[in-house]
Amino acid sequence: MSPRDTLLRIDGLEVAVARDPQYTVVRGLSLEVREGEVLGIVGESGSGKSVTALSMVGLLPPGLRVSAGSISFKHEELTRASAGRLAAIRGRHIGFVFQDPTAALDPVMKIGLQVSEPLLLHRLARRAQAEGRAVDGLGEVGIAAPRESSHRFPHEFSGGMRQRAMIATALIAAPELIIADEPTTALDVTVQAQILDLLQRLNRDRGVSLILISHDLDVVGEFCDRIAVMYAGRIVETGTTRDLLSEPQHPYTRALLESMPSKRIVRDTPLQAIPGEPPTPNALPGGCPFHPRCPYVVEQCRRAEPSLLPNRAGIRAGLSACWVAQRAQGLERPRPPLSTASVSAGVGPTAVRPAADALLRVENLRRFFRVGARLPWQRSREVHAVDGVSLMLGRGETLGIVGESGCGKSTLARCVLRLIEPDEGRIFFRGRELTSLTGNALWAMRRYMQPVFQDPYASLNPRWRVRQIVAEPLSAQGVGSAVARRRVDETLELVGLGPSYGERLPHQLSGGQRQRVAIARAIACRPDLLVTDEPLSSLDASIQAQIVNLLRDMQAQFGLSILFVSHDLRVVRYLSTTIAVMYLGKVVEFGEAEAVCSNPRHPYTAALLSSIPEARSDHAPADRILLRGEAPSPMDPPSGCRFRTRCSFAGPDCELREPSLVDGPVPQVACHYPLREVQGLTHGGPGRT
Amino acid sequence: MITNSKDSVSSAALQSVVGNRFAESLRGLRQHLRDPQLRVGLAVILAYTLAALSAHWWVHGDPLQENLASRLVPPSWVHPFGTDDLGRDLLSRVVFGAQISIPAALIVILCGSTFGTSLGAVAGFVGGRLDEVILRITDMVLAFPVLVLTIAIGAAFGPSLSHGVLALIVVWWPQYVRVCRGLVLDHKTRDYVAASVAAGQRAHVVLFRVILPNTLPTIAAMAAIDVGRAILLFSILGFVGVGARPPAPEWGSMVAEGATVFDQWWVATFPALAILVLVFAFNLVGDALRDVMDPWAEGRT
Repeated sequence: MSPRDTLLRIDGLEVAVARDPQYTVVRGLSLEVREGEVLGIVGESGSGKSVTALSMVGLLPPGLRVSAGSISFKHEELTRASAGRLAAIRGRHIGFVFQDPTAALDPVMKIGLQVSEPLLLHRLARRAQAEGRAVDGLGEVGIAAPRESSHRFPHEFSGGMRQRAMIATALIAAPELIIADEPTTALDVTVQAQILDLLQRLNRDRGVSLILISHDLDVVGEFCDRIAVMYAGRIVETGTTRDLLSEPQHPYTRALLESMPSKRIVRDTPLQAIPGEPPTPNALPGGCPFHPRCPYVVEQCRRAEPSLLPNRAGIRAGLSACWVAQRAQGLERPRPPLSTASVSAGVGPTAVRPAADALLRVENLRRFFRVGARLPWQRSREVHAVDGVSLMLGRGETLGIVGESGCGKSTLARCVLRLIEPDEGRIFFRGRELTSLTGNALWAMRRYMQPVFQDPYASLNPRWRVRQIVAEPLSAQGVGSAVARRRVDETLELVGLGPSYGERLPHQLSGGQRQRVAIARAIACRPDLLVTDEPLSSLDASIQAQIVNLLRDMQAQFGLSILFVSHDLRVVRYLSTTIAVMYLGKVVEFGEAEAVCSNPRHPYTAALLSSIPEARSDHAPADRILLRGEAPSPMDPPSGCRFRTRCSFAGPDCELREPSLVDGPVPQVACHYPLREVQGLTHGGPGRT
Repeated sequence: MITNSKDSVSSAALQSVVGNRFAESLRGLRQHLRDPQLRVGLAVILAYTLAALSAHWWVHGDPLQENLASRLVPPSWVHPFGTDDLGRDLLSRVVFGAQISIPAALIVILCGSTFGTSLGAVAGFVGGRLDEVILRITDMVLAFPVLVLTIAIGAAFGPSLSHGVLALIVVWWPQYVRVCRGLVLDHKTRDYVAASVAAGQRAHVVLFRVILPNTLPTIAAMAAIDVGRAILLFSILGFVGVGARPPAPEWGSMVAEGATVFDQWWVATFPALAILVLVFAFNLVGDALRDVMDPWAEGRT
């Protein structure tokens, strides 16, 4: 292939706060995108990746401005372009896909009109023509019945369809470049796989260049040609995907690759968490901004910031900004253990124990919600959030519950905690029936099970100091103040914060520290069971590994059992002894973690597993099971097997009979045509040749 | 016993770092006071309060002292605000008027907001039938025209300051029920409340010590604005003659008197200005409080 022309070139870009030019958010960033190329930008929150993207199209939020550098698009300088000129380029030559399609679509405008808007704005078509092209565009991004859909409003679309509509809007005027800022972060994993597949197809078939921005190296590594890793407002490493993934030069890239559980990381080895927190742009450490977190740090790193230079001779092409990597011997020194706190004892997978040993047993749990009936004459409908779930969790084990949003996993967790009351079914905990407990008996039981919630911003009382928050379970249980005080100090130490944090208020802490406080609160009364609901989802990539390690440590130290609810199969697989996969309120597969993940028997489990994005150095087209559409509304689940509408193996029985979880040797699976072992994804169902 | 032990945990913590915390809250206060709105509003209210409290020492003349020889004297050095048609010194009457209006308004808001907030909190927290009952009663009271009701009460029991206060309390609480119920409903579903429940806190502790303190900023902002509105309503009552009885120096009745001697502009102007500036100050404070006291907004910029 002949060398392609440069489409976009950024040179020494600096973005600063307008009132305070010293406060720079992007500090001297250079990159280029060639025609037809896919560039991935990876970084944590505050790394400046979104600001970089916004500055390319002149959409910087008020208060920020480009203070130096140039952005040239097709040899036209954009930093000095007038607002009118930028408006003419946006949508016409550069399309933008935002993170949250719900917020980015106009709720009172029909989808068709919205998609055709760029055509009308740039006078590329007349109204009637534009509508037709919008319909074509919707069809191209995989929206079923595009003509009818174009007359709908955004609220009638599901999340994935909205994002498809956004992509259609970005594409309609046939721009040369599309910038997608975290396009899949708000979506479920199976839908994420569909959207990534769509973007990849558009790049391949239409040759449109793409800048894909994400916090997830695995998402970016899926199909990007080149990757730029950003840290503290600068690119610290860039190179082709293959080189960057196989031979990362910068310690940060290396740490990112090793810090998150993925298909690459084996269970039972502690994750190589990056210590500390990403710096905020107004308080960068001197020298290399990564040096306080870097295991390879040398004296030079503290003194001066390395510039982005070509990798040393003999190493693959690419640029990196690291003093150590640029030396003749590179990052050779054997890796010192990054996180000293994570000397995990073996909490290896043990066989699922007989029911007698179970700490927690859930039997046929159901929980309905009534919705609808806003007006007296309307009939209310029941949504079966949890519809007959039976599970078991042994002492010291971890039960992972996976599923997409709306599958009822959080409702289940809250029922177990007795934060909401189940409508039917029984929960046995420590040998007692939980659902019938009331008053003092329930109160006494609470100290044995504690929650950790998703968003540590919302789960800590903003008016209380850390000490009071952590002491709450103790004081609520009537523990004396002197004992409680000692216990709080001890617990804060355990979670790696130390007693000095006791006097802080939640808003004085970072997200990772808050989640540590939430964990400290949960283990302060030394419970038997921790119920964690998506405890990682609101944290940065480098912080997630710290929290995972902390959970493992606490489990090893106190023999905790953990009910781990998450949408992220990577983490669940890494942490869990057993896994329950939920779909629309039902468990479809339940078994030992490794067995479920390496030999999924339910087609939905198989699809979930294959939807996990994975940074691959070869970036061959993904050989994955793409599910059709999205999960139907739990308000009316399909008859028979609830998964049949998306299942490619569904036979005639699936519509008629509902499969039940076969209570036999684990893994249990609720499917008429379970996938065969060993062969994995090939199938023994009907209609197979 | 449970609450006791929690008290001692926090008080122990308090003792150990009392200096530290005090310094921190001072810093916090200084930070809040940087808001010019809050500063101006508080300064005006403080000035009114000080003036009213110290009136005996610096104001010449009794507000009730009639002097028919110097009726309707325009503003001068002796009578900076002039005199009314009974020869009473208007400056003295305006300043002493603050001694009536401000406490009366504060009592109304204190009683109304406390009652309304508690009722709303319980309604939102308990929910179900109790919620329905409380809400319907609230709606009923809300449906009364405030002014007509207070005038009716004033007329029925005879015009007096205390009847006016009572009448305003009766009509004032329902809006606090509405607002507080909404806030409690919102906070009830937040994770920090779920964590407290899971920790084993009793229901009353969850409501009054966990949820309610987090709703107070909104309530406080609303109350600050309402003090201004109450002062305004008192003046209206005074103006129509069902509030404080003459010859008490009540601003509203003074404006009414001024309206009868239209050519002597100063008689109505100064009490009216007193009302205007004070109500404006309370509005400023209320507005600023709303922005400044929200803990969810802090540190999230």
